Amino acid sequence: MKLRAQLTITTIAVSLPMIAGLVVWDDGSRQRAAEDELAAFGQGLASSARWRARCEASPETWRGRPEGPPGHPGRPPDEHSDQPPHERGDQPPHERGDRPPHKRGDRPPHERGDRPPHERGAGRPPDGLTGRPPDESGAGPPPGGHGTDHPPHGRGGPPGPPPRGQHRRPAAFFAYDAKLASPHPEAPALPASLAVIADGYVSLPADRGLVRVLFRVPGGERCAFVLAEGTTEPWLGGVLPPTQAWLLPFAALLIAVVLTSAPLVGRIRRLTTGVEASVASGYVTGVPTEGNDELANLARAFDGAAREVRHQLERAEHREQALRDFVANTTHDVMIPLTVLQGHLAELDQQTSVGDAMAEAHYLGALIQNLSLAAKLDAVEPEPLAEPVDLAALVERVYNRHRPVARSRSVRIDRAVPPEPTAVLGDVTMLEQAVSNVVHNAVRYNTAGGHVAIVLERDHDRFTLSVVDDGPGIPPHERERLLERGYRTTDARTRSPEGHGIGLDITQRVIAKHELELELDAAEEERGLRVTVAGPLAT
Amino acid sequence: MARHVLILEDDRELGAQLVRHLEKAGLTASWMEDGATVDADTLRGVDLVVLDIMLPSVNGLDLLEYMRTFSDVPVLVLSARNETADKVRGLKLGADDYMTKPFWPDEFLERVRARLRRPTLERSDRLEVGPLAIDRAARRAFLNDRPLTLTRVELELLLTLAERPGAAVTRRALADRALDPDGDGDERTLDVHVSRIRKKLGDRALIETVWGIGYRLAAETDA
Repeated sequence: MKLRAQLTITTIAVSLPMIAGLVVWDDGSRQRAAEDELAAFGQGLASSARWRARCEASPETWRGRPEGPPGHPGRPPDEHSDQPPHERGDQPPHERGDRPPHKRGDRPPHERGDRPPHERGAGRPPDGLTGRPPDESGAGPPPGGHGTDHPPHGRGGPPGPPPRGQHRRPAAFFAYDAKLASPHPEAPALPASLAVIADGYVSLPADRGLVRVLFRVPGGERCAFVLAEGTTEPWLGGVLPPTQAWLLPFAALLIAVVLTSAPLVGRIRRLTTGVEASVASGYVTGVPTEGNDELANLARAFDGAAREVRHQLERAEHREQALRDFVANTTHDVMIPLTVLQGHLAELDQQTSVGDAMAEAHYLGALIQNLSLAAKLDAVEPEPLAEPVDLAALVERVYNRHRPVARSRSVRIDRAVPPEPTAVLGDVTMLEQAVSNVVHNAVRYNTAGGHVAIVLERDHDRFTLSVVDDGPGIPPHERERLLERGYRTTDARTRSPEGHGIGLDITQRVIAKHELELELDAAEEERGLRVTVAGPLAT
Repeated sequence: MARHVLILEDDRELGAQLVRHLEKAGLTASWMEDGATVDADTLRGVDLVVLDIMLPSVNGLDLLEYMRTFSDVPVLVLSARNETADKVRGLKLGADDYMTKPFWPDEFLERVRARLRRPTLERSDRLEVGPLAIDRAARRAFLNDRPLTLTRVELELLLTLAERPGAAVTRRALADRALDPDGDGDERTLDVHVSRIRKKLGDRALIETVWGIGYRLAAETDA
C-alpha cells in the first residue's frame, strides 16, 4: 500500500510541473497569436482611408471604435491563450513602459518564416475575420460581447485585472503622433524609442487577459502610430478551459500507475514473505524467484544470500559437531581406562591406602564429564529439556558415585529421599552432573571426620534438593559472586582445597538452563555450606 | 543359590574386572565380549544382564530391543557416553537402569544389588526390621518378640522409620508425620522422643542419627 501511494504521489509530482509548463507554453503561444491577430486586424483597418482620416481628424478622442470590427480580440481562438496572470496582470503598463518590448514587427518576414504568414503579415485580417471587410465589420458590436457601449474596462482607470468572466470586449485604439505622443487623455505613455518601427508591429506589455500592439499607420501625422488593445480569452482566470480533454492522458497515467503497481506490490509482498519464511526456517528454505525482471533479480539476490548464510551455518554447525564429536569420543575413550583404573585403585585400597589416588581418579573423571557437558551447554540445543527425571534415583546415583571416595577420605556421606516419586522435567545427564559437582566439592573440600548430606524433599508441587556439609564453607561475599552468571574464578578451576571446587559454574549454568533456583548458604552459623536447588515438580 | 549376572562388555580389562568384582560379592558372573550371538538360550538362568551400549558388532540398544522380544530379564546398561538420549532411549526400550563410566566397583555392585533385590510387593500389617517387629493393625511393637510400651508418638516415629529400613528420614518428615502440629510439633521435641525410644529399645544402635538429615532404622541388609 505504501509503495502504491508513493508511486501515485511520484506520478502526480512529475505530472504537475509538466502540466504547468504546458500551460505556460500554451499561454505564450496564445498570447503571440492574439497579438498577431490584433495587429493584422488593426493594420487591415488602417488600410482604409476613411479610418485613417478619422484618426487624423481627432486623435484626442478617436478610439477607432465606431468602425471597430466585431470583437477581434473577443473571438476566443482555441489555439491561443493570453499570458498567465502572474506574469503581467498585476503591473500597470506605464510602469513597464521603459522595458524594451519585443519588437516582433521589425523583423523581416522571412526571419519568422516558421510562422504562418497570416498571423503576422500586416494588412491581412486573421483567419477568423477573413471575408469581412474591415470597414463594414467595424459597424457592428463585437459578437457576444457586452455591447459597443460597454466602456473599455480598465482603460483610463487604474490598471487592474479584467473582471472575470468577461471574455470579450471590443478592440480599442489610441492614436499617437510620430513622436509617440498621444493627445488622448487616457492613452498610455509610450517611450519614444519605439518610434523606429516601420511596418509590422511591436507587442507591448499588457494587463492580464489583454494584448497590446503598436503599429505604424502609413502616411499618418497626428495618427502616425496606433496602439491597439484587445482581450484574449482569460484562460487561467480561475476558470478552467471548456475542454479538458488534455487532462485525460494524465488521468490515464495515474490509473496505469495504480493498476501496474498492484501486481508489483503483490510480488514484493510475496518476496518479503519468502525472505521471512527463509529466515524463520534457519535459511533452510529458499526464497521464491519468479519472473525475469529487476524484482526477480532481487529475489535471486536474496536467495543467493540465504544460500550463502545457509552454507556458512552448515559449515559452522559442521565444525561445532566435529568438535563435539571429538569431545564425546575422547570422553568415551578416557572413561573406560579410567573405570579400570578406579577398579584397581579400589582393590588396592582394601590392602593399603591409596585414597589420594582414588580421589585424583575421581577428580579426573569429574573434570572430563564437565568438559563434555560444557560442550553440550555451549551448543544450541533446539529441543527443550523436557524428559521427566526421577530425582530420588538421581540422588541415589550421585550418592553411590561419591561414597567410595568419601569413605576413603573418612567423610561420612548420607542421603534422604521422600517415599513418593519426585520428578522434575529436564535433562537427566545435566542435572545429575550439576548435583554431582556440588556433592563432589562437599566431599573434596571436607576434612576427615566431616559429613555430607544430600536431602531431597517435596512440598506440594515443589522440590528442594540440598547438599549440606560441615566443611570450611565459603564466605558470604564469595557465595554471592559464585552465583553471578558467567562468573568463573581461577579458584574455581584450581586443584587446591581452598578453591571453590570444580564445576560450580557448570552447575550454575545447568540450573539456570532448567530455570530452577540455586542458593548457597552457610550450613550452620557461618560453618559449612548448604547448596540448595529448588523448583517445580513435573506434573 | 548365587544369582547369575551376564556381562556384555567388549573391553577385556574392564570385563575381567567386573567379573572379579561380582564374584567377590558372591555372585555368579559370565562375560561375553560381543552380543551378536545373544539369544534365548544365552539368557536362560541369567538374573541380570549388564549391557555395554557400544559393542563391536552390534549397537547395545538394538540388542536390548531384540532381547526384549523374548526375555524380561533385568538389564543394566553401561555407557561411556554420558548422553541423555541414550539413557532415555534405553529406559524406553526396557532397560531397568543405567550407569555411566567411569564408576567405582562399589557403585557398580550397589546398582547390581538394587536390580537383583526382589521387590517386596506383599504389604503386610506386620513390619519386621532385624529384632524389631511392628503390628500396624494392632499398633503394637515388639523387640525380640517382647512387647514394647510406646506412646502414640513414639510408635508413629518408629513405624515411619521401619517402613523404609536403612533409609535416612529427615527430621521434618518425622515431625510432620508423628508430632501434633498444633501442639509441641517442634523438631527439638523430636530428639526427646527419639531418645526415649532408644532407651526403651535398650542400648542397641537400632536408630542411627544421620548428620544433616535425621534418623535411620539400621537394616541388616545394608552391607
